[in-house]
Amino acid sequence: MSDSQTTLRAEHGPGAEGLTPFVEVKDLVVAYGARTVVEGVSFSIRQGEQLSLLGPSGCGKTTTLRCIAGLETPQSGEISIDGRTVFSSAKRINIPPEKRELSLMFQSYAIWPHMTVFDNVAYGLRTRKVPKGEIDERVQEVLDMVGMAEYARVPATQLSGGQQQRVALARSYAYPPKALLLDEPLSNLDARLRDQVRSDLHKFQRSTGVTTIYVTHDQEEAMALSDRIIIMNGGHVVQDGSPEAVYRKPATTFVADFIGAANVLTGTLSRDDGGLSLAVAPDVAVACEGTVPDSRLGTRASACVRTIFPALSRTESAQRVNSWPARIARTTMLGDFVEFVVEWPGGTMRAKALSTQILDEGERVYLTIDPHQVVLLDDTEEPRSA
Amino acid sequence: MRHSAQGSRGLFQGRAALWLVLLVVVGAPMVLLLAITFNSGDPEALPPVQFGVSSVGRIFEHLDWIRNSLLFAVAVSVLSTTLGLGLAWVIARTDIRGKSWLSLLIILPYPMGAMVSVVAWSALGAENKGLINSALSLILGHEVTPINMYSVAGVIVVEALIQTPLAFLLIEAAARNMDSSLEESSIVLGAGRIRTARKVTLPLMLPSVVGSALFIFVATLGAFAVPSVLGRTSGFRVATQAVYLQFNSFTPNYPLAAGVGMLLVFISLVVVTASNQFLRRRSFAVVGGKARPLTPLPLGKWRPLAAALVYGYLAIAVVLPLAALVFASVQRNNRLSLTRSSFTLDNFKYVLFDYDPTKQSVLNSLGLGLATAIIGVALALWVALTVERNRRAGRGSRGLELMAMAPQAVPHLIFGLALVVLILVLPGGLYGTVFALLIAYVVIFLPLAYRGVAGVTSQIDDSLSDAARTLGAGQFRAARTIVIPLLRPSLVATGTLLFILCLTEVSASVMLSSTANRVLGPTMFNFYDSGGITLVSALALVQVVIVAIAVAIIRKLSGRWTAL
Repeated sequence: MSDSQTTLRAEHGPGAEGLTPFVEVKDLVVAYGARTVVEGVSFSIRQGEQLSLLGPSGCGKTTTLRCIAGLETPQSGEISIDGRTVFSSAKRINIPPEKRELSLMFQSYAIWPHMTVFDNVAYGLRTRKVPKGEIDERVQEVLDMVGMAEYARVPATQLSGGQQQRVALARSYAYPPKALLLDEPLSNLDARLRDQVRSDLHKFQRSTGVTTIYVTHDQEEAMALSDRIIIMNGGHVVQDGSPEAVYRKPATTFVADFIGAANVLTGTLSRDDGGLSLAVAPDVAVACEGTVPDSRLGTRASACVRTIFPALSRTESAQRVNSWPARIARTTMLGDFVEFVVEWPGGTMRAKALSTQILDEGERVYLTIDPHQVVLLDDTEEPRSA
Repeated sequence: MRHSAQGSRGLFQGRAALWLVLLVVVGAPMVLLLAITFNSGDPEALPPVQFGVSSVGRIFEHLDWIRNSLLFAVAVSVLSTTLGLGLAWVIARTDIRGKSWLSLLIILPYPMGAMVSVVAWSALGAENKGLINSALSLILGHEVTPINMYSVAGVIVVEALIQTPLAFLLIEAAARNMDSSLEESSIVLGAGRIRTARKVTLPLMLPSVVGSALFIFVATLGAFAVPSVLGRTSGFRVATQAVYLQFNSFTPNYPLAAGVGMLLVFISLVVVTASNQFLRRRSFAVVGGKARPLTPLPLGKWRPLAAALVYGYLAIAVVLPLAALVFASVQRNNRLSLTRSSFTLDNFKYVLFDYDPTKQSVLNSLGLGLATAIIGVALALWVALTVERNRRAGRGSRGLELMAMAPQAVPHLIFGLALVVLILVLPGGLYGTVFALLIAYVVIFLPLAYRGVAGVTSQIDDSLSDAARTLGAGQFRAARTIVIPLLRPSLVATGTLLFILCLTEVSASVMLSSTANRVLGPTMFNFYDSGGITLVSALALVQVVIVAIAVAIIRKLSGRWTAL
């Protein structure tokens, strides 16, 4: 490898970002025997982009990641990286993982216990036959990046969980991969360490600009660590968008529920001079946001309201739209926040407020919802009969 | 750059190649033996040309061999399981001191091998001139002969002493993993120690006790050295000895030998299957494994009884035989005596340097032990990794596992017979070469090697080698730099165990060894008649020393005897 010098130094700055897809996954299908775990997943990533695959366990996100890495063979579909097809069922191409120039950071970190920190990090450089002098230099450099420079000679068995995580990161990046794949890298850490490592990881991503695909079931992690989120459920992609978009404009009841806490309202959709509204009960119409084709008018539809948006007050609100008398059914103190279960003409609603606002159980209040925060969803969830 | 459907096809090819190897070395000899059983033509014909069931009838004229084998196996199994259970309970559950050393010593007769015990007990227990009777006569001042190890009872006792370590290993493993809170709650609820042992401990250990009894039954069914040497004067003939004699007679009766052999295999197969069921079931007594450190039961006033059991066993099974070997090996002639002039070291010089057959045996055994260790572990690793990889890919490999474990049900001597007839039938001139022995050793110890290796391969997380793959290592580099180094300690321990077992092997070796490929087991077996007790003892002691070194290596590597 004659240009290893330049390869090792390559920084994926923002200038390198193109508009053409850098990693592309098309119609991926993975099945174990009769059980299909990934059913026709497609998405693409631009160079330098930081993508999260987010979903509950068993949604197919880790399997998709392992297919990209080449550790799993899909039944059908196509995967290409940087213009090269690495898997195609139609063209019978399946490049083995070691030739895909990616790296994967495992949930367990997979730090080799029989090696030192240095040997762990140097592994990917040695397999690519990088000259010895360069290896020493590069290993020190990446260990420095993760703050583990003084641990080079330490046997891997003596590392704590957080240190293993950092060595695993250094190992994945020592030989700069075309894309860095991360499989739930924070789930084995305790809560305090997790916050620290998450911000370290964020800094690392920003400073290297490496293209990353990050698999997680934690929506906060996904939001903090990526500029785009793909939400998966049951082997399908259910939404693809920026963290803000999936939060503000969830496409389905599943997304609304999975990303942050939300109330889902279901009723008949209608439009008048004031805009769209959802009749959730006789005489209770909730004004809402969104544009719909005329064909949906008069049919059942669902909308979501994040728990943080319903406003509760002891006095009647000045706002005439979406304001109802209500009663506090339950108050739960959560620390910074307090959560209420509110009975209102449309049923019950969960509402969250800063814990400075204490309302007692049984208190009569007014519930007001900004119509902009009532987001119409693509699917309809029929309320379970109580 | 194209790779054809990497996963499945590569996997399939590897598995097919492995199947082929196992079918040739394990399957082919047994199929031929089965065919010979139905040879209704000339009993000396190899390969047989006429088939029918008439030859099978002759087996029924010799059912006394099978009956003797069964009685022998039952007696030995009961005796050694009882002894093993007592020892296992004391070591695993009580506060007796020096457990680590005691368990090593208890197990020692197993790696020392059957021939060593045979030689030692023939020096100790002959009716006249035996060391025990001579010593007793000397003390009492007149001739007494209470001990005769050449009797049927003697054969049973010596074989039981050889098998006791196996019972101990199997039962101790189960007892050690038992949750001691089960016993403690019984004591808290007011049951005494005896009552607790009877009502709680023993029932929980029962599956492993039954499993080990069945296991030893099968092992004894295949035993050859003890009944053929010590049992020859009493006329107590067992099936393995009959097969050996039929095969080696001037007018060999191959169908009869094969038929009796296949009958032994059939019985073994049934019993081994039952044994594995019981040994696996012991998990119901085990909670998680390392849930809590074991609290040993205080022995209290029972300490002398427990000590008497353990030290009594060690005196009879370890100290006495080794002392006898040392004493006999430094005697000038076969009339063992305490006078000063009767001591010499010439016997060692003779068997190690001067006498070619014994010298060759030592060298061949060392070489074969080493080769079997390497090839046996490599084959076991191949099977284990293939099974593991198939499991990951969601494909079962039950068949492959069963094939690797199948030799467990074939007595060594019968596999030796099957392999020797195959070699005689096939061209290639393998007969009388060390390669014939090598194949036999690799096959008969494959189940043991597979168990030793598979136990650890399944514990290595897949992500460790997957990580290497994504960092640019191919399948072989990942295996070489990650998987094998992680497995190394247990691979070396398993290999060393194979080395020991090859060195001490007798039953399969007597079928395959001749003047050109002498090894220790058969040499001692034959030398016993021609060389006299002093020279055989010297040779046996050489084997003991080599084994002791190997045992020390295993102990250093794994801390305890885990392999079985």
